[in-house]
Order: sequence, then structure tokens, then C-alpha cells
Amino acid sequence: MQPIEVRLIPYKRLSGYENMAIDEYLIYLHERTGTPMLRVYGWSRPAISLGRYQRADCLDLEACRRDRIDVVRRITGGGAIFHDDELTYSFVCSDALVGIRDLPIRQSFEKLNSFIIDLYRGFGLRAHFAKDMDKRIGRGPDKSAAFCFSGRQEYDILVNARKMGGNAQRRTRGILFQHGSIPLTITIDSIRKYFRTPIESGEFTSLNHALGRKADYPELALRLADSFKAMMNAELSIDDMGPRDTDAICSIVEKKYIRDRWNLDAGTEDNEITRTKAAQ
Amino acid sequence: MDISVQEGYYYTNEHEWAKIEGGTARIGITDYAQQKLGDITYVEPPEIGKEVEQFEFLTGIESVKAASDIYAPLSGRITAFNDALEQSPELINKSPYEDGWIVEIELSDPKEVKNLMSVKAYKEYAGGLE
Repeated sequence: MQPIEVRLIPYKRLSGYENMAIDEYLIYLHERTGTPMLRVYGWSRPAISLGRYQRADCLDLEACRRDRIDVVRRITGGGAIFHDDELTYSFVCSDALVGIRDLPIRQSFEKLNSFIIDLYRGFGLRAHFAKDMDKRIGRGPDKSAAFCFSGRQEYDILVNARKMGGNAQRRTRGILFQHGSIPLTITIDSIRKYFRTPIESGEFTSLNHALGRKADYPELALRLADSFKAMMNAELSIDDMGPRDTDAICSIVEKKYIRDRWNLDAGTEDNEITRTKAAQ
Repeated sequence: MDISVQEGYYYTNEHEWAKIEGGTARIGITDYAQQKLGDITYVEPPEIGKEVEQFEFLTGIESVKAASDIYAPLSGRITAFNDALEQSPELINKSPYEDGWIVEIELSDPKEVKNLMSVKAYKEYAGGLE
């Protein structure tokens, strides 16, 4: 089978508002061009992202304000993630291109998350889908949680039996968008104070903790690209965004991602460029 | 995938259904759609009174960490949302054609029904996707 050609948008560290605006813009860009895109990025300052329909009252917003933690809403489902020392990826393509158009969403995560499993195994880590581990230990069905890493679904990725990172999707008109986090470090005590719900420390882990050493970003980004190519049968070509893209993204940040109406009010409808074409 | 289809309803290729009574349509998603989405955890309550256009965005739905769109099978004004879904979104999984209905629309152009699929056509369409 011919490999799929994917545009790789190179690594940058940006604020939570900018990162989430770019991710939404990628869907818009894909609608117009049909080009599949993979983006790798980091966070210039700590941020908490809420799931598309998650209520903000799971957070202590005053503590977030006091410590200048940006709170930003994603366009994808799932629970809140604390982003700081983390490599994040996003991927957009048509659902038919990667053979998931008629798959249940659960199974689409299996197909798409396989490159993350490959990445972790490439580091020599024992990485599995939760469903494989949970069957062995007789653990019950899915568990949802306000803090994403405390939740458990069958295609979440476990390293040393603990959840590592999280992945979530947006589906619109035959387009698949998925982004996911790879935490290098997690400082549990510094996260707890921003959440109103209890967070148990034994349920999740981070890359550096699992490796017992400090992974560096260039190494991780390169390995991620290699695993993506191998598992998705893809060819990557680096192609950064240009000034027109930047202008459109700035407009989305301004109109939406710095606004409390979007970030704090779950379910604010008709406020996505994929629905309103605000960026045109 | 073993899917059920309800007699007397009309269907879209995005797997919504419409049950038309007079000038009003009750709208929901099909058994195929709920099986594909998996455990539904949230349905976005749309604004009552909002005008929607056929095959355009109607509201959003979340399942298994995925936020997906639902499209309007017919044009019109939203007159009701199934409030039971706020507490029990899983009604869509349990009863997609009855208790799990999503909105009611006062139709602005009932002739648009000609753009929808009959039971027979939808069965063939959905069967071909498996």
C-alpha cells in the first residue's frame, strides 16, 4: 500500500490559547486543502485544558489565576489535562484515509494510538493498552474522571501499569482530528491545588519517571515522527505555517481562545470555526 | 454490526433520523450511529428557537473522549430539546429511536423530506458500511 503523505508542522512552544487555536485551525485548513497534517508542540507556560463539554467547576479557578495557569477549552472530548513539561501532538486527516470511517470510535483509538505505544516501546518501556492490562488483573470497565490521567478507558496507554498521557478526538464531516499529550514530568502536588476533585498519585506516570532519566525534546520529537511513519505508513514532509495562517490563528485566539465565554462556559454553541467559518 | 432501523422514520447519510408528524419533526441519531459513537456522555442542548438548515450543524455530542457533530435532517426552528438527556445521555444508547430523541423542529419546508432516505434505502446504505 502507498504510504500516506502527511505535512509535518514543526515543534514550537506556545501558550495554551495559541496551541488550542492552532489545533482548531488545522481542521479548517484540512477542510480546505484535504492535506493530512501532524503537528508536534510544547507549552511556553503551564496551562490546563478542559474537554469540549467539561464543566470548569472541577477547577479552582482562583488558584489558577493566582498562579497564572491558563485555563483553555479544547475542541476534543475527555477530561482536564495539566500541560507543562509535555510534548503534545495533533493529527488531522479524513477518517477514510486511515481506515477508521466505519470503525467504532473506541477502536479508532486503538489504531491511532498504536504509534504512541510504539514510541514508548522504542524507549524500552512496557507499554500496553489499558484493555490488555485490565483483563489480566481483572479490573472493571471504564472509569471517567475530571482529571484525564485519573480516568481509564480501554484504549488508554499504560506504562508499567500506570496511565501515561491522554488522547482525545474531534469528528466533523468525515474529518478526524486527534491530539494527545506525552508528559515528561508530572508534579502531583503542584497539580492537586488547581483541582476541586481528588487526584490519586498512583494511577499515572510520566516519561522521565518511567525512563529513570530525563528525555529531551528533540530526541522525543524525532522518535515520535519515526513511530508515526512506521505505524501509520506515512511519509512526513516538514512544512511550517506561513504569515496568512498566523493571521488567521491570531484572529481565532482573539475571538475565542482568550475568552471566558469559550473557556469557562461548557457547551457554548456555534463558536467553532469549523461550524461558522469565522476564519474565512 | 447488527443494527436496527425504525419503520416510518426518514434517514440521513450522517445517520440521523426524523419522525415527521404534521409540520413538526422529532430528530435523533440511528442505532448505527450510537453503536459507532459508543457510550454517550453528553449532548449539547441547542438554543430553543434557533433556526437550522437541512444537513447543517444541529448540535454536538460526546462519547469515548470524542466530540462529534449531529446534523439537521430538515430545516426549521428548534422547538424542544429532550431534557432527559441532560441527566441520562445514555438514553441514546439504550433507546435511540424513542426515549433517546434529541430535538423537535418546526419545519420550514416539509418538501425537503424528498432529500432523506426511506427505511429501505437506509438499511441498504448502513448495511453497505459494515
